Formats: sequence, C-alpha cells, structure tokens
Amino acid sequence: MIEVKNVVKSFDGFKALDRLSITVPEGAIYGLVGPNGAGKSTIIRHITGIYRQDEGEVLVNGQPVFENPAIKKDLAYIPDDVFFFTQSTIKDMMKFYKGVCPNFSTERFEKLRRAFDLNDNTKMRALSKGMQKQAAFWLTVSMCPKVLVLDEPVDGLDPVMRRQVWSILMADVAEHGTTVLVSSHNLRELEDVCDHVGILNRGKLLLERNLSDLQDNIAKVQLALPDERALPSDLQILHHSSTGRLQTIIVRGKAEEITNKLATCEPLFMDVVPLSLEEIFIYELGGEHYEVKDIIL
Amino acid sequence: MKSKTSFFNHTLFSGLLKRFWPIFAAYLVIWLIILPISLANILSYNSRIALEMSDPTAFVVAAARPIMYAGLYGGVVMSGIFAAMIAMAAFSYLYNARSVSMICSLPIKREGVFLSVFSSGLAGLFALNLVTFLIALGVTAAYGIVGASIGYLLQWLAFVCLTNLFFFGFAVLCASFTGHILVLPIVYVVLNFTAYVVEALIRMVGSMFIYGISSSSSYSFIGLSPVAYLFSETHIDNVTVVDAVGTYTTTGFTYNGWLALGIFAAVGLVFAGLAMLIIKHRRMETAGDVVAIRPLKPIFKYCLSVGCALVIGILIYTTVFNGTSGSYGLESMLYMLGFMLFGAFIGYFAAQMLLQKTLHVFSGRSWLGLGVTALVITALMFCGEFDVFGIERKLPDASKLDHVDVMCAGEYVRFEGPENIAAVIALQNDIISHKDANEANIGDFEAYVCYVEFNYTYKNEKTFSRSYSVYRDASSDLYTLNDIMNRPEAVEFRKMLAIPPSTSTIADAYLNYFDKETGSYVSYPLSSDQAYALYSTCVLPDMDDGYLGKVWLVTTDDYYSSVYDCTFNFSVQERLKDYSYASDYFYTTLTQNAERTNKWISDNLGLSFCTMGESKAILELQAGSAEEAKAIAEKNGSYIG
Repeated sequence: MIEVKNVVKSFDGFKALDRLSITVPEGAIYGLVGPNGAGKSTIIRHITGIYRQDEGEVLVNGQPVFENPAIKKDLAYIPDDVFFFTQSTIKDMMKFYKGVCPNFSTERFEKLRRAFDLNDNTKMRALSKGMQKQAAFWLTVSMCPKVLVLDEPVDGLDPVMRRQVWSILMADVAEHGTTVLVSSHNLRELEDVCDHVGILNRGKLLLERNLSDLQDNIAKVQLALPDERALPSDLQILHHSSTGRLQTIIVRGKAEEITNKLATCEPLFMDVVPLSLEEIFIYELGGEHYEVKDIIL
Repeated sequence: MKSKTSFFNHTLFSGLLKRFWPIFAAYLVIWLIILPISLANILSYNSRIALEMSDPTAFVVAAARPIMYAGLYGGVVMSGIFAAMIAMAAFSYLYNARSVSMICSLPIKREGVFLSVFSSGLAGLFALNLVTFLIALGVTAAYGIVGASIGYLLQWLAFVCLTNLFFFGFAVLCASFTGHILVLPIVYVVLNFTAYVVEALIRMVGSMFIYGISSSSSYSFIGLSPVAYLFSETHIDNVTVVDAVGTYTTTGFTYNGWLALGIFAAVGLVFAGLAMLIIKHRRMETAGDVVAIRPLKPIFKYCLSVGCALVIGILIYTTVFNGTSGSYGLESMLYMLGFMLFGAFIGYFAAQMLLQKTLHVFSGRSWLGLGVTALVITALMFCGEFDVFGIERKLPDASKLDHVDVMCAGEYVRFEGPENIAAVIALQNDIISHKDANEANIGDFEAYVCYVEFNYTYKNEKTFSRSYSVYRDASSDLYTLNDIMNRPEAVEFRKMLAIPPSTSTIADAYLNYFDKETGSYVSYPLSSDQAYALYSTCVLPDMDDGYLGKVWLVTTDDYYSSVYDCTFNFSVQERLKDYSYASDYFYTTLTQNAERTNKWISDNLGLSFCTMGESKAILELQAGSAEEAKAIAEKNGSYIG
C-alpha cells in the first residue's frame, strides 16, 4: 500500500506538489494521469525514495520510504528514461541488481528470458530505446518487487511488446498481489489494466477513484429535446455541445439518476454512451481550465 | 520501523573498480614509470660508478634520492590529479537525473552508497601504491640494497597514501556540493589554489595603493591552498655527517613535514565525513546544477563576483596603463576601482547565469546584490587609499622580534642584534613619514636608487613584511639605509658562507676590474690556492678592520676616490655523496684602505687598479657620454652613476 499524505515539494520557489495526497491500495493497479507538468514524475520520485518532500509523508506499507532500505528492497521502479551504466551489458546489470537488491531472483530472470528477445551480452548502449525499456522490465520484474512504480512504462515499445509487458505485469499482480503505480499518457492502455485512477493537476489531486466508480459517476448523454424545453438546472454538466437538435452532454453523476432527471424534459431522443478514461480525463480537466482550445490558424 | 543502516555494499565497491579500471590502470602505469622503472635505470647507472668508487653508501644514497623525491613531488601531483578523476567517476551518479534516480531508488542508504564508493576509490589507490611499493622493493632487491632502501620505500608509501587521503577527501567534498560533473574539477582546481591566488591578487592591488605593501612577501593563507602548502611545508632533509676537515657528506634523506601531512590527511577524512553528510541531505533534484547546495549558492555568486573584480580589474589596469602611469595616488585608484567594478559586474551576472541556467538574469532584484558588492569593493579601496586601517603606518614591536632581513640593490643582510633591529624599524618609520616625497619621485628613473624590503620575523615565527622604493635626494632615507647595510653585523653576515671556503671547495675565482691600459673590464682568473690565500690572509682581516665588505648605495666623492673599480669573486662548491652539488658565492669590492689585500695582489699578481672616479672618467671619455659610460660599467657589475 502506498500512502502520500499532504506532500509539498518546491523547486526554486515553484510548488510542484501542493498538499498532494494519494492512496494506492495493496494489490491495486493504480493509474496516475495528468497533464504535462502536473507533478506525476515528481511524486513518483518521492514514492521511490529519490526525493525528500518539503512537507507531508510518503509511506509504503505504513513506513516512510525515504532512506529506508527495508521498504525499498520490496520496491522497484522503471523511470521514463531508464539508466544503465555506460559500457555495461544486460548481464552486467543483472549482476549489479543481484548485488544490491536482496530479492533479485536469478530463476525468474532466466524464466523471463523467453519473453524478451534480447541478448544479455549486448552492450546497453547498443540497444534501441525500446529494447532498453524491455531490458528494464526484465531486470525490474526479476527483483520480485511487492510494489512496482512505473513512469511511462511502455513508451517506446512496439505494440506486441506492449502486450507482452502488460501481460507479464498482470500475471505478476495476479500471482503475487503486487501493488502497481503506473503513470502514463496512454489512457487507452491504462483503462485496460488499471483498477484505480488518480488525476493530478498542478501538483494537486483532482480525483481518485476506483475506475468503475469513476466511470459510473460520469455519463455521456446524447439527446434531442422539444423546442421549448431546456436542460434541467440541477445537472452538473461538464461539457455541452450540439449539432442541430442533437445535444451531447457530459454530466457528473450516476447514469440512472441523470436519465431520470432528463426524462422530465420529455426528450424526443436520449441515449447514454459509455465514457472512455480519456474522455473522463479531458472533461474533468476541462473544469480546471485545461481543455482543448479552439484555435484558428 | 526503519531498517538497520547498511554502510557498505560490495557490488557498489567492486563496481567502481570494474567500471573505471582505466583510471586506476593509468595511475599504476605512471607510478611504475616514476618509481620502479626509473629506479632500476638509476641503480643500473650508479652500480657501475659505485663499483668504481667502492662506496656502497653512495649507492644507497643514489637510490634513496629518486624514491624520496618521487614521494614528495609525485605524491602531491599524482594524488592531486587522480583523486579528482576518481571522485568524478565515483560520484558521477550525482550529476545526472537518470543516474540519481537509479542509484537513489536502490535499497541502500545514501551513507551506504557513499561509503562503498569512497572506500572503493581509496582502496584502489592504496592497493596500487602497494603494488608500486612491492615492485620497487623487488628492484632494490635485485641490486642487493633491499635492507637499506626499504625504509625509504616505506616513507614513500606512507607519504603517497597520506596525500591520497587528503586529496581524495577534498575532491569528494567538492563532488558533494557541485551538481555538474564538469564543474567538479574546476571547483577542485580553483579551491586548491584559490587562497594563494586571491591573496596574491589582493597583495598586488594592495601594493599598488597601500604604501609599503609588497606583492612578493610570504603568504599568510597558503595553508588554505593545499598544493601550494604541501609543496612549501613538506620537503626532504639530507641526513649528513661531518668529517674531520668539516666536509658535510649526505648519507641519507628523510621527509620533513610529517605533521603537516598528517594534519592534511586528517582534514581529508573530515572532508570525506562532511561530504557524506552533505550527500545524505542533498536535494537530488539539483543534479545538473552548478552548485547543488542551496546555502552555497550566494557564496558562489559573491566569491565569483569579487574574484572577477580582482582578476579583471588587474588585467585591464595593467593592460591599459602598462608602463605609462604611476601606480600610486587617488587618480590611479579610481581607475582601478572602475575596472574592478566592471569585473564585479561580469562575475556577478556570470554567476547568476550559471546558477539560474538562463541568460535572462538582469531583473531588478539582481542588481541589489551587485550594488552591495560594488559598495563593499569601493569602501575597501578607499579605506586602503586613505589608510583607514593603519596598514601603511604599522611598525613591528621590536621587543617581540627575532630578526629582520633587509634586502636592497641585490644585497641581503640579516640583523639579529636589538640595536640594529631598532635602527631598521626607525628607518622604516622615516620612510613612511617621507611617503609624499617618495611618491612624488615615482617614474623618475634618475632619482630611483633601489627597492628595499624589510622582512621581520617574530619570536613566534610569524612574519611581517614591507617594501619601499628609495630615491636619491628625496630624504635622508638613502643615507640611513646605506649606513645600516654597512654596519659591522652586516659585514659579518657577508662573511658567512654555507660551505667553508678552502682550497678544495673554492671554484671559479677571479678578480673583475677595470683595466686603465686597455680601457675595458677584465676578468683575471685565480687558482683555488691563490683565492684561498687572498681570502683567508688578507680579505677576511681587512673585512674585520672595516676596510672591505661594504656596499655603496650612495656615491659620494669618497666613493669615487677610495673605492677601486674591482671585485674579488669566488664560488664555493661541495660535491655530496649522492653526486649532487651544494654551492655558495662570495664577492667584495676592493678599496684603497684594504692595504693587506692590495699588497697581496700587487706582490703575487702584479695588478693594480684604478678607482671608480678614474674608471668613470676614462669610460666617459671613451663612450662620449656619462649615460653610455654608466651602462658599460653596470654591464660589468660596476656602478659609476
């Protein structure tokens, strides 16, 4: 379980994290999403014990993570931009991680060899960015972490390898109950793997929900109303657009409650369409002045 | 509950040695060349000489010398360079956000990472020192002097390991507060020399505007410049024996300065501890910054500003006014101040650009810091010019002095007698009181006579130095100085040579005189026997009687009528057991009053000399002008101005 409590972090006067609180339940796959500069990588570096917060607490399994090897031995991290020692091979890095991570499993490393089509005697710098990412997965999963923190994990991987990586992660979660915190801009993929989502903006958490609750709490409705009727005023509308008589609204609330309220307007036509995570992200942030702007060039 | 601290990780320890082996290999190869290979070559050469001379002690001494000097110079230079390189390698992870993320997310405390890589770097250096030691020991064994040379090799090993410890600790401290790998070596080099250079620059500026300040006297803060300090405080002493005739023979060497070196090594360890604390609390997001520790950022900014003020100020001043202006007075100070303020501006905003990583640093608030810096520099310059701190007026307390060294016109005399010390202080006081008259003569090369330096040494070994230009006719100072330089203690001091003159030690003896027959200067060679006879039976007694051994800063009528245009010169040399030489030099100007000396020369060499006045007249006639004649005489070591 990861708990971030009221964490504040400033860089030369700029507040990157502003009383941020996040809770990742044990065994959950938590998707951390947010616009560029929201503070995703910064909070991840706190959770992995790289940065020290100015205020607040960062706990993993109830203990502070910073400078705590007992916690960090069960925690593995794949950054956005992976680092390997210059001149090293995958085998060298395996020996390194084996020497510094007490949970590193050579057996697991050998088992995973089939999944990644990599020669472990190849120098890291000779590998492409995607192949380096694969190597990072190979080594990280071999550390048998109980908490896995991933920052843009599949960025640079081809579609087949993306599937391969996610399948390994899902199997690990299923088999060992690994807690996974994953930050990504690929919301389509997150939607498939995450069971919890947190949306971050300007160093603050906008919302944090179970994915199904999140999807249950927002609805996209297409409807056509009679000429004289208007939408009910008590609806929490996040987005409204219309094409002729056909109106599309994104409304916060349960789909059933929304349709009941709209039914009072006697719509000529009404349909509730499922909302993707990407749409939720866009419309939630739209309320925070981060929306797609109509710019005419 | 937090886990127990892990202070060491074997993988990190060995990883540094494996990944950066070329640095360690280079260190070893260079040491092998400096010590065992060089030693083998020297022993091979000297074994033949020793065989011829049947002198085993000389052979050991010949082996000991390169070992000891390799430790002294090689130890400081090699440790200084390689400590920085290894620190750069060991702590390179601090300078890149990606590597910081990787290392800091590992389940090892920062102290553990630090101690693992620090001990790895240090152990690598020590191990290679040991390898060099063992190979060198093998070389000495091959020549059968292992027993006699092991002591020197052990001294070498200890010396090098201690310098390793200091320089590595120092480099690691620099690594801890810098955030960029290229900044580390720059900071390391700058801090190694900064106190020395800054003091030199301040002295240079001070010597321009504070009357009496010398830019060449000994440095007070040299201890803060490790390389300079180690070279000045650690040296090799010859172990000598004196035989029945008083000849010194070197039988061995020993390092002097172990205490200083031991303190430096301890300071290196303290630096390493400090570095560990800094890294433990370091904000890792500073990777890539010039200065990684927040409180050091303003220090860096103001130090760079003041440093640039000094360097750029002096550079522009000396370039613009090179040889065209005097170095004293309010007007010159104002020029210098203007150039220094320009330098401060450059340094201040350069620091701002480096710290903020942007060229847009000229915002309103930035100017406030520059304003304060400029104000401080201006205040200090005015204080110096108007002697607010009493630096110009300061005189030493005679009761606390051990001795004073006076240097002028190529002459050096040490006074230890209280009366003479008091006379020197009184002269300094007179010169200070004649500041205006002396400064009025600046640039007048006709009036200028010499530059006099007073270096006082207190009983507690502290020093105090002042130096002044002395001018003819500006005051009575020149006459007082002339009198002091000819006091009996001064004449006595000129008799003391490092090597006692004898027929076996005197070399290159000659009389240099103006030959009125040919109208030119002649060098008349003397044999060692002749020179020793002249020196011991005539010159020394004449010096004791006050007829010889004097110098003439003032050219009175008496000078032209009673001083011969002739000097008696010889050098004394002694070949040491290790085939090197020690030497010293004696000379005196002959006078008409030195009858014993003149008679010996006349009787044994058949030479007679003309006075300064005679040679001046002849030379002026020949050359056509007094200036030309003076130049010819000076070229030959004579003064007829």
